[in-house]
Amino acid sequence: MRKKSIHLDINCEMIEVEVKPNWTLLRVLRDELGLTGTKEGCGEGHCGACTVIMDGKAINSCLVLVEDAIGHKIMTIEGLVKKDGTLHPLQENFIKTGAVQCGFCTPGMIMSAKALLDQNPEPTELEIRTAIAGNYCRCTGYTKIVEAIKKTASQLKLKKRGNKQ
Amino acid sequence: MRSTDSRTVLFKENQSVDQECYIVGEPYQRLDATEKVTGIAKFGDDIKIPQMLYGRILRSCHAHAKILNIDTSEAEKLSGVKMVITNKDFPDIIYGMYQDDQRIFARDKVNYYGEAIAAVAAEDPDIAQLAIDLINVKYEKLPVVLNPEEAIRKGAYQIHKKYKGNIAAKRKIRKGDVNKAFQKADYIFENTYTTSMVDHVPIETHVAVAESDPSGFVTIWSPTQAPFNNRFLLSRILQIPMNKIRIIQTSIGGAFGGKQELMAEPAAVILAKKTKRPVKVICDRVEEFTASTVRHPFKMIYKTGVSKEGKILTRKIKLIQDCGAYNDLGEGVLRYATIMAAGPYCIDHVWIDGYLVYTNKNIGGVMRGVGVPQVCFAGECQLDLIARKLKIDPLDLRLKNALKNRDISPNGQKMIGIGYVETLEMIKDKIKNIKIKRKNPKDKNLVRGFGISSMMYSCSGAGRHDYNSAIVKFNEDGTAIVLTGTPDVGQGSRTILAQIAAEELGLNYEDVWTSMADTAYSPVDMYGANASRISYMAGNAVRNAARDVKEQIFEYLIQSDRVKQEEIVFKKGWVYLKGKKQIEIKELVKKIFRPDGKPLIGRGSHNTLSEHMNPIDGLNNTVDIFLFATGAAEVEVDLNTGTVKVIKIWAAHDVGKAINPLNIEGQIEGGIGQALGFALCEKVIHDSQGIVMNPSFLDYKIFTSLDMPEIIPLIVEVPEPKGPYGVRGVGESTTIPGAASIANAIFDATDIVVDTLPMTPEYIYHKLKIHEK
Repeated sequence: MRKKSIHLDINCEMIEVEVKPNWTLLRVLRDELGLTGTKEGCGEGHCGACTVIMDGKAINSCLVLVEDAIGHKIMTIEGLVKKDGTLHPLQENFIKTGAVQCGFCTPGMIMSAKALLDQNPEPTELEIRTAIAGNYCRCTGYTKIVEAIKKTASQLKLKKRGNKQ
Repeated sequence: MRSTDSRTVLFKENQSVDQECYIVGEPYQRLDATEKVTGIAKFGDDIKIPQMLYGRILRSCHAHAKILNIDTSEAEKLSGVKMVITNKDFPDIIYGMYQDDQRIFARDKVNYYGEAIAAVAAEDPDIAQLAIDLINVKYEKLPVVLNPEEAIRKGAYQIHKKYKGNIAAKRKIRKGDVNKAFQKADYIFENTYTTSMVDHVPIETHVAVAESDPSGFVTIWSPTQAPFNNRFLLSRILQIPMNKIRIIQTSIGGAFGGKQELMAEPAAVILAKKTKRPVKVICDRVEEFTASTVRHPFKMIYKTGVSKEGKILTRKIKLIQDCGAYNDLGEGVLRYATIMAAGPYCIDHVWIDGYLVYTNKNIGGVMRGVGVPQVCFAGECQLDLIARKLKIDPLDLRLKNALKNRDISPNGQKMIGIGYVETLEMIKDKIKNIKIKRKNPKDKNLVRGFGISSMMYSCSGAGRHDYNSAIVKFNEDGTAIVLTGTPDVGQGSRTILAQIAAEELGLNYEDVWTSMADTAYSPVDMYGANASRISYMAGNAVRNAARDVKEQIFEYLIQSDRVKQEEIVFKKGWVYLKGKKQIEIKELVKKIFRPDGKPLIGRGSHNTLSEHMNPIDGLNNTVDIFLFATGAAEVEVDLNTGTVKVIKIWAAHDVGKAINPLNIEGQIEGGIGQALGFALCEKVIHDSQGIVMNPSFLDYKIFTSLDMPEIIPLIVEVPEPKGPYGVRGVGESTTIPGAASIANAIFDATDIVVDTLPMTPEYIYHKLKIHEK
């Protein structure tokens, strides 16, 4: 199978990369672009460790053929940190609430949470748990992860109110 | 350098300045959390080295078969394949942790579906996978032995010729006179319980990268939870001296005991040596379910004699532990199960026989709780049957029989400084006002119930020699580094070791950094992140190392300032001499380095005080520190479908001292997540030929965020005399009481007697139907 050159929009940057058509977006992110923050846990779309955001939606990058990602906006965990190094509130709160143990599910979990909060800034606990139901965590029991997302939602809500005033 | 005796208090603290802890006991943020939330932390598969090849392992497609021939020629011809290896490429060594029964790659026969036979290194992972499929193995199938009770019967096929009757190991406890005690009992209960095979399911699968240089020096990157134990085994198996093997621990994406053993490492090393290029060997999710180690299934027969007042007079127990194809660490698990089987109770007459039995299934290894989630399920479910019969409240029954200080445990040890009763009292206090609405007013098919369960476990390796060592060194600017050989598997050990060092040195938490494990530079940690041993053993080693380096600074001060040792205190970044703030610790350290040129390196260690289990009666000081907990659960059972929903779980754990309460809560919540899976849905299923039928998340389910109940973690602190700051372990205890609490809650709700795990809807539905009749 021959490689071909394509362009992908990753973390607000257009990147040229050589790919084979049977490669997944996950493989290209990790092996070709060195963006190893996104993880592979099963390769079958169950565990959610490979979650990235495509056009605002959380998706399993292990199930997306890389050519199907052309023309879409992809955001990975690496795209969350601001250029000046400040962490996204989700990242801050994951640290503060103790939602990070082994850390392997964490990038995917945070991306699912970001996609949720971008679409639904005031989610109920059930909506939070539903949004991350496709992200397996074997370490935390999910309690502090849910807490971190709740905390972020209420902080962003306060900030919004503050901005309005 | 002064040597440190780890068993005695090193020196008395100055009493004139308040010695209360200000770092230990506080919920500090984890020192490795930022790299994990940003995706920067490097796990096994994130390691990429120039010229690296990709390796995959060929595994057996039969559960029991002779290997007649392995033809690798087609695989070798495939373009992009650089090397194919089989057992011929390894020294012909049989190894094991307790007995030698296993090879890296099978030679004459395979003993389970998923056993490793060969490996390939190729330019690309896809080519490696294709090459694996081109290796042609000729098998001669052998009779498959799947049931341990059949395996020990006369005439059963011998899986390992050396181990007669398919018995890999036995353990026993003989205490008192059980026959006499049964005669005195007012009631005798006999029940049989069964648990199933469960996988660790770390979200990160096994992987290893190896690089070899022409001198024979091998570097291995691996998400291993036991780097030194792995080095020990690799040195033995590959016949390479330890100074030529370097294992660098990467970040670990979940371990729970499953990353204790070698899996990808040996193949990676040999492929790297032969190709003269770095090689990454990847194991995928299918291999996790078929070829990684598992939790042993158990069959447990309990006979318990009680007085009508509820005193447990005697327990006679038979444990049949399904070893799988190789002993591995199964014998250790048998030891734990045997010691803890009778439960956390003061019982004078105990008779336990434990058997580890070979079968042609996945290798049982160490999984969080090692045998005790199984025996706790059995013992605690039977206790609730007893409580119901005697019309005694289940919690009161446990209080009546609970081990207290100075009592003798079922395995003959005197209890010192334990907090079991405190966990029972904590649960009693939390649930006293709870009114469970038995029937749902909106749906009569939904019934609720409440159940409790207690457990007893061990902190640090029980029945084996165990040690940990640490180095605490100052940097020239007065900050410090903790060098430890103990991996942080996500439980937060790097953080709490930094807290302990900072507390001891009088520095701020931010001034201390803890290393990851690297066998070239870290001091030895014998067994790794297991046995709930790190807070205790590594904690003591680090505390001792911090004291050692502090003493070096004391010597300096005694000379320079003409003070006595008792007049010096380090606290909150400052040196106090005779009660007065004198100089910042950092400034003092800078002076000691320059101009005085004295490097400040402290050394510390800790040994376990555990004795081997006596083969005659099993009654000795096998457990160094006992751990206790009590759990409770509220469940709702759907009488129509058999589905069990867990509404709420309480868990009271005596941790001695919570070095970091946020970590402890995290362990409790996560441990319960695993306990719920063990209790309700997880099972590795084999067909009649021993083939794993559900090696994927499609058919092996773990709890998701939507399945979890409300969890109430309760931290009990009864100081452990031997632990630093009074700490005990907790990492594994958190998975232990859950299953029995849930089973007892189901019994309370429906009157059905649960005796099998997992309690799937089909199982509960079936039991409900039988009960109806």
